[in-house]
Amino acid sequence: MTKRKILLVDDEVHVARALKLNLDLSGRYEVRVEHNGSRALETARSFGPDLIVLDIIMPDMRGDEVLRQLRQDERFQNVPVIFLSAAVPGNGLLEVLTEPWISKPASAAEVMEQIERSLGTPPAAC
Amino acid sequence: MATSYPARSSPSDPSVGALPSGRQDRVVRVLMLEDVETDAELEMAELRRAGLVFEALRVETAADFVAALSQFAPDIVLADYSLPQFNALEALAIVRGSGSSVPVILVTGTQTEEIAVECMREGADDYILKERLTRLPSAVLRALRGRELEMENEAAQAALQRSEELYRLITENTHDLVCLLDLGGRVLYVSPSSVELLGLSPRDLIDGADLWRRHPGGEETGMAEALAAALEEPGRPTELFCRHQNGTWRAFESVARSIRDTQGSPQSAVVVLRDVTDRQRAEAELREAQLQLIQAEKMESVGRLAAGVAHEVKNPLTAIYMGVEYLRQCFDTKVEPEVATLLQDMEESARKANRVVRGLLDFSMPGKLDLRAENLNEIIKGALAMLKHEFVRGHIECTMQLDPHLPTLQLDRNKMEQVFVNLLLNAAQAMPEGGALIVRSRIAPEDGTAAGRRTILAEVEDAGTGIQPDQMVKVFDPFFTTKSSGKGSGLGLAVVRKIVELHGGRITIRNREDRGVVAAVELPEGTAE
Repeated sequence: MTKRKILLVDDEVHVARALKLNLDLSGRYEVRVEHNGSRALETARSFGPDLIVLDIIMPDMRGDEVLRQLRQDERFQNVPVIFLSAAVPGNGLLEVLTEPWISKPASAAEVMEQIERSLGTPPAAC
Repeated sequence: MATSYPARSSPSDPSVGALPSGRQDRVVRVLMLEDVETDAELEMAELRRAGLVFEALRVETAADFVAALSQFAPDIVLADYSLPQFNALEALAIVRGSGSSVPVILVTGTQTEEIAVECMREGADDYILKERLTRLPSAVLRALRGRELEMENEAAQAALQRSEELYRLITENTHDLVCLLDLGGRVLYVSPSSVELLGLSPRDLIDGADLWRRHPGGEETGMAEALAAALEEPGRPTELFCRHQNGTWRAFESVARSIRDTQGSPQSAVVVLRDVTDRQRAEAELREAQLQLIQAEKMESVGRLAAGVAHEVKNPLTAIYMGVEYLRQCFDTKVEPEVATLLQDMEESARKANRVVRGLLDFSMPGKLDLRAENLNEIIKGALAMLKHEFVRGHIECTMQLDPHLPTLQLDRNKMEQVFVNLLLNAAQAMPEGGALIVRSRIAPEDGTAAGRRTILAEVEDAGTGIQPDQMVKVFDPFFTTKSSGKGSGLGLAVVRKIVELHGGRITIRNREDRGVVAAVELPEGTAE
C-alpha cells in the first residue's frame, strides 16, 4: 500500500512534532512538516501532498490565506485541507471556513480520523 | 366749648422737686374735664410749680371730651367728678370704652370715699381733692410713669409675640423634625412636620412612650441615645431610625443641643431630625451603579485576558495530548504499569487544564445564543438528571417545586442547562454532609414595570452555611472560590451570570434568613437579544 503524502503546517513546533510522530507511527503516511505559510506553499509545490493539515493562526501568513493561494494553483484545487486551530467558534475565524476544522486541543486519533474521511478512504482500507 | 392752654416753660420751684430738670423730654398733653375755669387754672398752676412742661385743653361737655380724646390725644386726663351735664364716671367709661389706656385722675371738690372707690374700680388711676391740689403733680407724674411702663411692657410683649410667631413659623414650615425633649427623653414639643415624616401628629408624639423604636437588624438607636450624645458632644450628628406609621423605616440624621438654665445645668434639649432616607437611598444606588461599572470593566478585562490565555494554553495542551498518545503506543503498558499510570495522569491533568480553559472561554466569549422555544422546567430537569449520581453520592435530597404553567421561553438549551448544573452543583457542594435542596420555578408577580412581559423566576435553594457577607460581593468574580483546590475553578458563577445576562435575565445570590443560600435566576418572557 502506497503511503499518502501529508503536509503538516503549524508554527507550534511541539504540536507539529507530536502529530508527525503519531502519523509516522501509524505507518500509513509520508509526512512533511512546515512551520510557516510561505514555506508551506513551497513545500506543497515540491512535495505534492495528498492532504494538508493547516494551522490558522501563524505569524507570517494565516492558514486561510495559505489555502487561498494554494487553490489558485490548478494542481491544488482539489487537494483536501483540514484546519487544526486553537481558534474557537465565536470570533468569526472558523465560521467562514469551507474546509473541515478541528479545535485544539485534539488527539492525533481525531486528526487521523478526519484525514481518512477527507481522503475518502473506504473504512475497510483503514 | 374747649379752652386751649399752650405749653410754656415756667420757672420751676426747686422746692417742689417733683420733676428734676432735664428729666422731662417732651411736652405733656393734659386734657381737663372741668367746668370751673379757675379750678383749671389752679390745677395748672400746681403742675407748673412742679416744673411740668405741658399743654392743656379744657373741655366741659361729653361731645367736646370725645372729640378731644382723639384730636388732642392727651397723655393724661384730669376729670372733675361732677359737671352740669356730665360726670367723671361717664368720662371714664368713654375713655376705657375707646380702648385708650390714657391715665385718668379724678379731681373733685367734695368727695365721698364710696364715690372714690367706685371711680377707682371703673379704671381711674388716682383721685385728688381740690383742697389738696399740691398732691396733683406727683399723682400726674406717677400716672404718666405708670403709663410709660405699661406701654414699654406692651411693646415688649408685642416684640415677644412677634418673635414667638417668627420661630413658630420657622419650626412649623421646616421639613425637619424639630423636637424639644426633657432630660428624661420625653417629648415636650414637636413640629408639625411629624405628620409628613412619621405619620403622627404632634399631639400623638408629645409624651408618647412608643415613639422611637428599634431599627430592624440595627442596634438600638433611640432618642435617649441622641439626647445623651447631645449632652456629651453637642451638635454632633448621629443617625437614628424611626418607623413611619405606614410601616416604612425612615433614616434620620439628628443634631441635638442642650438648653441650660442660668446656672449652666442642662434643662432640656432641642433635637433636629433631618430625613435622610432618600439621600441614603440615592447614595446607595450610586454606590451600586459604581460597583456595577467596576464589575463590568473588570469582566471585560478579565474576558480579554482569558481569551488570550486560552489560545496560548491550547497549543501546549495539544502537544501533551498527542505526546501521551504516542508514548502509550511505544510502551507495553502491561510490562510497565507505572508508565501507564503516569500517562493516564498526564492525560487527566491536560484534560483538567482544558476544562479551565473552556470555562474561561465560555466566560469571555460574547457567545452567540442558539435560541429556541424551550420549557424552563425541562431544562432544570435535564440538569438534575446529569447530577443524579452526584446527588446520591453526596446525600443531597432534592425537591422540585416547578410551576407547570410556565410559558415557553426563548432559551439556549445547552447554555441554560449549564447554568442550572452550576447552580445545583454549588448548592450541593455547600452541603458536604448532605442536606435538602429545593429547585423552584414560578411566574414572578407583576411589578408593573414592563407591561405584558412577565418575568419567570427559578430558584435553587440550599441549606448550607451561607456566604460570608464580605464575600457576597465577590461571588460573581471569575476565579473567586471558597472551594478547595480541584473542586472548582472559580469560573462557575461568572459564567452563569454571563449566560443569564445574554438571555436578558438577571441572577441574584442571597443568604436565607435562617441558613443557606438562594440563587435566583430571573428570565424575561419574550425574546432575548
